[in-house]
Amino acid sequence: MKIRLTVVLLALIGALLLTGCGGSQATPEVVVKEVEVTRVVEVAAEVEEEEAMGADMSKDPYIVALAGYRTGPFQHTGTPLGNGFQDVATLINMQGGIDGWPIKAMEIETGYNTPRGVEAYERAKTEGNLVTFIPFSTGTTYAVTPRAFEDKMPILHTGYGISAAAFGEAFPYNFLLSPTYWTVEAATLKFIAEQEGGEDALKGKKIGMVYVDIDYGRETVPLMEVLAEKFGFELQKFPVEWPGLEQTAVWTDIAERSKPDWIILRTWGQSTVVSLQEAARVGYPMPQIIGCPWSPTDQDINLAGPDIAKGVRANYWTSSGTDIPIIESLLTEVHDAGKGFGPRYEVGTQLYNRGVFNGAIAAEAIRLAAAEYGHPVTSEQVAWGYEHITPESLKEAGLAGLVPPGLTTSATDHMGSPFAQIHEFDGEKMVPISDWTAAYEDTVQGLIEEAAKGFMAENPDLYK
Amino acid sequence: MINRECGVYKTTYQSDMAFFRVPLARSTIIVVLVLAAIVIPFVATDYWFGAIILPFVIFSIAAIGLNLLTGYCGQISLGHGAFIAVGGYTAAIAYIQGVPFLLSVFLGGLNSALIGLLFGIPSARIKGLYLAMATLAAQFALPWVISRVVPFLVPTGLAVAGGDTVYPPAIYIFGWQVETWLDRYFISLAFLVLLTIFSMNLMRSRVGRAWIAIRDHDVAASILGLDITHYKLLAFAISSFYAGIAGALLVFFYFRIAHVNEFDLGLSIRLLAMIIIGGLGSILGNFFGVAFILLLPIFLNRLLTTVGEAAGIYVSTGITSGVESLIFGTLIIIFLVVEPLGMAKLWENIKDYFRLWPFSY
Repeated sequence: MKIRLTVVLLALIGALLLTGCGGSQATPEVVVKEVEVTRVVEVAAEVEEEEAMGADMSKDPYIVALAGYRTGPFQHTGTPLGNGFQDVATLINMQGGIDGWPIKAMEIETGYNTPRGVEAYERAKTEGNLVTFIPFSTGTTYAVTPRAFEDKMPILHTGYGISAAAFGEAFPYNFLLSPTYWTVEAATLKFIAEQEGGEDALKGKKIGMVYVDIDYGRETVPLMEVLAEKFGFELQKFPVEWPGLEQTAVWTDIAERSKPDWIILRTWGQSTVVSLQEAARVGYPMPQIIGCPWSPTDQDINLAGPDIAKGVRANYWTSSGTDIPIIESLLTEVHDAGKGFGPRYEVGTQLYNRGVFNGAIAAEAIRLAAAEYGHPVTSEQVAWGYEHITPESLKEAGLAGLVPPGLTTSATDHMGSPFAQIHEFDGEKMVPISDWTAAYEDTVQGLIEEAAKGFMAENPDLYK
Repeated sequence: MINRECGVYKTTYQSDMAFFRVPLARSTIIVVLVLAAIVIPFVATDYWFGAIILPFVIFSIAAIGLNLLTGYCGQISLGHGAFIAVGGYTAAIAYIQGVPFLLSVFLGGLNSALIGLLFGIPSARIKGLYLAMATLAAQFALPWVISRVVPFLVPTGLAVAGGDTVYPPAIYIFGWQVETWLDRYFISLAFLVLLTIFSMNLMRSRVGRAWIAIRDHDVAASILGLDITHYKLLAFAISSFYAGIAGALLVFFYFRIAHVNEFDLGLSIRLLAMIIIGGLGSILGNFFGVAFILLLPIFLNRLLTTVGEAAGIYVSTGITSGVESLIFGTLIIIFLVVEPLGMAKLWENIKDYFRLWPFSY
């Protein structure tokens, strides 16, 4: 009896495996159906042409690995990031790769679980010429950083992870290529000051911070304390216990007792959805909520309900929208050809664009390194490439408009550009409403260098 | 046949109480040890050490600890993730302050044992689901305390704002630097072997028998004259000691950084899943359970990709991640339906079958 049961179950697993593999063929068809029937033939012809001029697949590909998460508690944020990353790799290979050398986007599922992120890093190293690892999780960033020092492997953590890595001398293989949490928060305060009519008008105002009580959420509190003293506003802190699914008390406090004039939101994933719903419940005005780069995103707003979240704002360091050269190419060359990894409507959302940015900037670093050292380049040489990014090279790569203006890196500056841009949800999507802004850079830079130099002094072994 | 008990005569008390009472079991354990100590170092690559074997060894220590508490003494704990964090942080900070490596690992275990003892006190009055809730408090309170105390003990962290991350410096044991994966593996393995032997010995001592009595019927055990509170607290302390050692090894060798978010409720639940699927009240079951929960998803993920490549089908990441979760979930249900007592019991069944084979009537 038990043997029969086992056989049946084994057959079941086999069937699941088969359906799983079969499903992958079905995915592109679904997308093709959206294209008009008359155009299908043309498109097919175009695809063949493009494949003919694509990258030389016989060459050893450059591997850019991503520790993704399409399952688990953060899947609604991990999926668009992964889709953008996959699509841009497809596009680069269709356009001839990096000087003819193909790039392989290797996404390894982790479920936002750090041991699996570490496994992904170790596995990616065995698969060939790994030149960049993208952790997409603060925990994994921390865990692979000591290994990156040994392996001389660039770790690309854009907009999260170790903020002190903005100071390149302390972290030679960690690349932010985006403003730190502190830089963005300073720009948010500047925006609030402008809305109030100048920095003097901040005096006596109440600014609340709703944040998940982990180091990601807490990280900007000391900066805000410094600035509160400087400008004379009252800083109200509303920490939410991780994972932040219970916020009733906090929002009741905000509505009934504390009544802050502005709220800065630092939540992540499902907790952002809860924050938006609670804010709507107590009737807090949405335009006075300004998020950090990771909250709220289009996906959070869709889950919370677009009708309740109209007017909510967030401060992003990549542009949303599709009128950016590389995003337009993705739509016309990848999605129109039925090769898109995810749904078409996702293209142009903040997280998708950020996935694109990660893949494209990695390719750009490889290209720069190859121009200096010649193909094939090693991971250490690619780290050199990351340190020599200029606005001109980004424009050539079609990234102008996606990244903050003037993004220039050097051996000491792994941040590149301090600019961020306020976006507002107009009922359908996030649209930029301010110019690229940076503020109080001296204060921020001083604190970053202090932390980074402290780290260097504590760990002299790493720099031998 | 060497695996049969018939013909194996136990003439002394020692032989009756031996760990492995049949010759085959003894030779098996020798083979396993030879594999672990001699073959693996030659065969395994950095990937295997850094991503598969090392976490397996370290999480096995934590699982054995939790199994002593839950499987043998019958006290459930949802706070072991936090106890691991306490051990890891204590050891890392002690080492930074200049305490020798082995002593800092021991201090990590000791501090974790103290904290575990503290959070075990409610077990004197409550049990079952209520105790689960009481230990859950540890899982919420301890990371909160750690993230507020650590910045005072370590001047700067990795985060810009005096964060709670601690980065242990290069590790020296009596002047010898631990550098390669092989070194880390051997040290962790030594801890695992020592702690496994200790737990097996513990189970056939007065303490172990008392724990089992409490698990099976605490009132009866109390009537027999056992001091229940004493033994329950002892179980919490020893179990947390294991967790603390595992935490120290995780921080020194695997993550190589102490970051409080790693030791969340998810870790506590994964540990419980490990011992339930592996087999409550079994030392061997821990290893099965850790392999199942920690390594099976990785194996499935690799298998799906490899099968797809071999068949010439492009299997996208979106599909593999979904199918992987599906199969993993199904397998958990299958294993629990087929044998609710865990994989250790399955292994027992297989052994029993061959013990009588071919005359199994």
